[in-house]
Amino acid sequence: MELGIVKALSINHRVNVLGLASAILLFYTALSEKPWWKMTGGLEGEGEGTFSAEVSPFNIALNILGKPLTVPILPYVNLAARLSILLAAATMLLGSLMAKKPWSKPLMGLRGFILPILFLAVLFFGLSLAGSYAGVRLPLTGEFTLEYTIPYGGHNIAVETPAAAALTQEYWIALAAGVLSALAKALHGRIALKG
Amino acid sequence: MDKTRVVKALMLLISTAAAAAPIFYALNKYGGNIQALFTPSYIPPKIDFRMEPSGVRFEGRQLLASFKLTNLGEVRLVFEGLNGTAYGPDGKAFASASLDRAVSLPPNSTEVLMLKISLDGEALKRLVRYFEGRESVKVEVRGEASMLVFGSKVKAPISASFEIGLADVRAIG
Repeated sequence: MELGIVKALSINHRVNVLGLASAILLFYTALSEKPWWKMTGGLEGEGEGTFSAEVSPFNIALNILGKPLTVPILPYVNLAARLSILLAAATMLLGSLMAKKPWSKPLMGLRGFILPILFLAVLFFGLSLAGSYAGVRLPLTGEFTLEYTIPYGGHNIAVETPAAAALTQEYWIALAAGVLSALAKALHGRIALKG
Repeated sequence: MDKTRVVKALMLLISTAAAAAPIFYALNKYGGNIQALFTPSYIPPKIDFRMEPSGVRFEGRQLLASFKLTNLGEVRLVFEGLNGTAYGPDGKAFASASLDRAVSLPPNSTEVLMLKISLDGEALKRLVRYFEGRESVKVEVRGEASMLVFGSKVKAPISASFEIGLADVRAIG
C-alpha cells in the first residue's frame, strides 16, 4: 500500500511529484508582491485610513497618516528572503526532476516550510514590541479598537482608531508550499530507497 | 569524490551567499553604520488649523458665533461635535456650547464653523449684565472637540473666543 503511494507520487520512482508542486508554489510565493498579512486602521470610506501595514517576508509597506515609514535594512532583508526562497524553489525543482539520483536528496530543503512558521513568530514578536512601545494591544488577527492618548501642548488628545488585521490568502499558499516541501522531502527518502 | 557531499557543500555555500549577500551589500552601502540601517524614518503630515471669529448673531434663545476655519495642514479634518462651555469676561461659566453642524475641511481650504450657545433666562440676564459700562463683551468657549482625522476619532481640547457688541444684544430686544 505504502509502496503504491510512493510509486504513484513519484511516477514510478522517477519524479518527486510533491516536490514539483511545492517548487511551483514556492516560485509563485517568492515572485508575488502580495502581502501575507495586513493590518489597517481607520474608518472605512475615509480615504487612506490612519495607518496600514502590508507585510510579507519579501516586501514590507508601512503607512501612517498617509506617509510611509521606512527602515533602511528592511528591503535588504526582504531581498535575502526572496533569494533564499527562489533558491529553495529552484533546488526543489531540480531535486524533484532528478529524484532517482542519490545526490538529489540535499536539494530537497525545508526552507519553504520554515519561512511561514518563522514569519508568524517574528510577526507576533514584532507586534508585541510595537504594542508595548505604543502602549496598545496589537493582535495578529481580528477586528479591534485602538485607544490611546497623545500629549500635545500640555493637553491630552484622545484618539480612537478602529482597526483590523488578517493573514491573507498568500500566507496560506506559502504555508501549503511549505507543507508540500516537507512532505516532498519525506517522500524523497522513500524514492531513493526504492529507486 | 562523493557527489552527495559535493551537492551538500554547494547548497550550503549558495544558501549562505543568497541570505548574506544583500545584508553585506547594505552594510557596505551604509558604511558599516548599523544604527543608520535600523533607524526608522518617518515624516508625519502637518496637522494645523486657524480659527478666526467672523460674526455673531442671535436666533431666539441661541447665540450663534461663526468662525472662519482654515486648514493649514496636509490632512482633511472633520469637526463633528463640541462639548463646551461659554465663559463670560469674569471667567465664570454661563451657558453650554455646541457645534451647529459638522464641518469637513480638506487641506488648504476655509470653511465657516458655527458655535451654538444655548441661553436660558438666567444666562441671558447674565450676558446683559456683562454689558453694564461696556460696549462689547468677550466670550470664551472652552471644551472638547470631536474630530475625524484620517479615519480616527479624535477628542481634543479646544478654546475659542469672540466679542459680542452691544448692538448685537439690542437686536434681540
